[in-house]
Amino acid sequence: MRAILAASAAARLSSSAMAERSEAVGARRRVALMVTCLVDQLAPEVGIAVVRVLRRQGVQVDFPRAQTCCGQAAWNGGLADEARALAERAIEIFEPYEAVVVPSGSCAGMVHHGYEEIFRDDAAWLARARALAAKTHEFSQYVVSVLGLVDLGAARDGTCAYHPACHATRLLGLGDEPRRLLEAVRGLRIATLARAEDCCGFGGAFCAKLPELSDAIVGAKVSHLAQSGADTVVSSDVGCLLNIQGACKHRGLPIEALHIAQVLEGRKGGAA
Amino acid sequence: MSGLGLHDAFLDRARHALGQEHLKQAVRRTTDRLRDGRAAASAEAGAFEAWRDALSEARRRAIGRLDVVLQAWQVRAEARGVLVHHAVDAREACDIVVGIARAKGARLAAKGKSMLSEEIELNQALEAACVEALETDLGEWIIQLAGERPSHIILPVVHKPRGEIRELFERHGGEPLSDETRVLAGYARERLRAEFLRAELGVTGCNMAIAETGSIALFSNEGNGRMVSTLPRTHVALMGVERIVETLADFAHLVRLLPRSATGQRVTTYVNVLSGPARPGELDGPEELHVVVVDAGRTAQLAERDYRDALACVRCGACLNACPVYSAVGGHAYGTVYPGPIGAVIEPLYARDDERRAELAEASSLCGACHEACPVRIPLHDMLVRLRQDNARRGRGGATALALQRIAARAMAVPFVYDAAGRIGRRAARLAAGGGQLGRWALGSAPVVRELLRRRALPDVPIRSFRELWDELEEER
Amino acid sequence: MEAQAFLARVSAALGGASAPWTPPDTRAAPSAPRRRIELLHLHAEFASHLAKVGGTAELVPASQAAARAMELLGDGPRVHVGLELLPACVRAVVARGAAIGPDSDPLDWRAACAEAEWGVTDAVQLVAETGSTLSCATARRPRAASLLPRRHMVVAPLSRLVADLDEALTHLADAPSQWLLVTGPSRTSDIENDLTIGVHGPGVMHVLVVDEDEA
Repeated sequence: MRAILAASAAARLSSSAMAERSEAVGARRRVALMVTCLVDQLAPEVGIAVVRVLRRQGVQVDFPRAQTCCGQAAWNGGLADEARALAERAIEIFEPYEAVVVPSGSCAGMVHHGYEEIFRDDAAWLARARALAAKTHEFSQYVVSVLGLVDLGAARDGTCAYHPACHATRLLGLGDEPRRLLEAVRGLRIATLARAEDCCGFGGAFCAKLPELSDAIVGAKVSHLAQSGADTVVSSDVGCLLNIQGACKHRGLPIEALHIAQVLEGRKGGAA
Repeated sequence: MSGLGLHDAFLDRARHALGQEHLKQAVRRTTDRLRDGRAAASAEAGAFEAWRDALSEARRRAIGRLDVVLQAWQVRAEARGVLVHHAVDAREACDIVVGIARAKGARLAAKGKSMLSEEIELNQALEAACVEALETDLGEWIIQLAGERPSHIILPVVHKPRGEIRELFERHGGEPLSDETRVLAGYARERLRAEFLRAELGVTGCNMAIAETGSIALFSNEGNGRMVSTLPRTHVALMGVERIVETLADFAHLVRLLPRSATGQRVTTYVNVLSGPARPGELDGPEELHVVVVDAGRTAQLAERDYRDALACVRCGACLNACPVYSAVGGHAYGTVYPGPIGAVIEPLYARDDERRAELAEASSLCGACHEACPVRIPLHDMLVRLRQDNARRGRGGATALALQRIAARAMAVPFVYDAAGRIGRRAARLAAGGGQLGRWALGSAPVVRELLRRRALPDVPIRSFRELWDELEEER
Repeated sequence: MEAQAFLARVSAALGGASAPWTPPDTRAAPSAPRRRIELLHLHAEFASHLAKVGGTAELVPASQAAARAMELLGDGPRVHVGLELLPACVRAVVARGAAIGPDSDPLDWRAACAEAEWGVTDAVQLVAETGSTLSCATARRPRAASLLPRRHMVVAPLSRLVADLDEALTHLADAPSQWLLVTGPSRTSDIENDLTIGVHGPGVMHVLVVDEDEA
């Protein structure tokens, strides 16, 4: 999952080459990146991949430095006041931008669904939350539904399985955007994953609070992955990916967990 | 011990369940089968989502004016000869049923499946009054013979291998049997038939009452529900106060959705709707039909906007089958009458001061599969979050743990603290990964992290965070 | 607790007494009798759904109904209800020999049902959507005939077929003491998820649909 920033000369070269081609698509579009605390701290390469993929399409990406967390962990943990404080902060930081892209279905889902719950009794804040939600997109949603793109010229050899993250599908309503993007990747086969929609057992703090239970759940996911014949598992959510990757490694299963942006960043030969 | 205090009892039971290979497989096989059944049934029926909308609306409409709907039902039921009783709590409900049994001189009460009767512990009350309480639903009878509790709302005995069932029956009847399902079921048919014919009292639950006609409806596959509501002279039905729809048209949606959601059947073998006892001139049917309307903590939910929708539940069990936690450990791990997602919500509500039940709010990854599966669209996942808020407000979960979590959450709001904490954490992780003693100690000192690390390989922890790399990324442009 | 006090608690939890309840208008719109071709279509749907759950249905011309019933019933003890609207020859076959009907004494009736090999009943409606028969308990139609015997046969004319549950239920606003939808033989999967047919209710269910238009 790690990609070293320094070794991306090739990526930069193709970046500028792509910039010409994508004038028509993403040009004059500008987004703020809500990087999410998990990506920021534990998987920055995912954030980098998102930025590069968007820039190739001519999209200008801003990174509001003041951002920290959308408040999902606090909300799910029952800390309503703290969650609200974080939510208000996030709204204030991001509302000046015309669009917000999030490399996480669960964080985007928090902005859409969670903020409805948080601000349900405060008309003014609710209006601001809704305004933000209207322009906040999970990464693959942004590419497919806003940019209108499915084929980004990406290539990767191998077989991948797609894991639809629970919050992405059920809270945010993420549909088949990630799948469609994967299907357009040259050289990539998409394996059938049994019971793909089943939870991976991450659940935020859940995996730390109830580890044996989380383990039993991820165990089922890992065995479905092993059966699928895939060498990679792809998802929209880093929490799921870290959890699945850790479980695969622990069980000696050589499956790599990648965020969809990392797959799309890949050029010929699969170098990422 | 997880170190986080609140859910230790659940964790212990869950651990126990995870250690039992047969149970794990039985539970997973069952939930997979029922989930697949529901999926097939809902795909086949093109109007499934429309039915869900209709039933969701019908249930919320009835609950939204429950007082007048109940009253309308009662007027019509009584006009057809039903004897209606009201019980505020479990104790009163048991007293009423025992009172009826005594008045009728009943020595044997034959019971159809009723989760409510489990909840109020009716069997114990009857036994204490020297009335034999005999379960007649096959799964419930097996449970009763074994002295256990059911582990699933719809299939109470999924956790039991057939060999054990055979042994139970052999001990009971004194004759050898084979392991074949047909033989075992045949034994139950033969033994229970005599009891159906002998029992003076039949006790059932009520899947749904219908206000328009003053009726109660019983759904079943085996036929025992019909037996106990037809043959004994007196029939007593226990009805949760919230189990009502207004019209026959509303009821049709339930007939379509309940079997499909529960097991994937298009319809249960029997849908039995009773509107009063046998009428003059009728050759069979009970002489008296009593309905005991039971509150037991339900009315209080009406007053709570966060939880009122949970009253719409039709007890289909679809949420159990969809839940990754239930599928992993089964019903007994919850330690409550109602397990699974619905149990994790209503059990704490039925007993607000019970810490043991309060902890069930933690037994969830909040994946939302329950809400997706629910025929009446109860937002169980959101309710679990609200319950967690209740727990936090009441200081449940250990003062220290809560305080630490609050501090962490507040720290997240301050960029440089968030940043610093991230750097420190990553440093410790990298030290630990590199075999460093200090790092290991730092990580391992948090019990939660220690447990997690037993089961997952550490991720490759980055040296620099995204925000530390941003400037370089900007230069790339 | 007294009813009024109980309901007052419910009202209080709702934040005040609700507006009075008005009963819905559930009178079925009188439907024109269906054309034969429609009924045949519904029968096919009915039989298909019933077959999936282990029941059987067959369409027989009225002239052959008696013979077919005789074939199925054999000579064993049987109980019967509600056949007065069927062709006389069918009634005669069903009621022959050791049959007991709804004019019996209640105890005899129960005993006969318990010993009968077949219980033969009619149906108010046959519901194509689910493959179900709908019956109503009355003085002339006691309940145990379709419950206690090992096998259950329903004899009903083709004209009783309706399309779906909505149609079937609208006729039940004047509720009898019991109405019942039966869909196939009794069953259970309680033992290790293994399905078995024939538990407490009848283990065989056969529907003889009589086509009165075909002489």
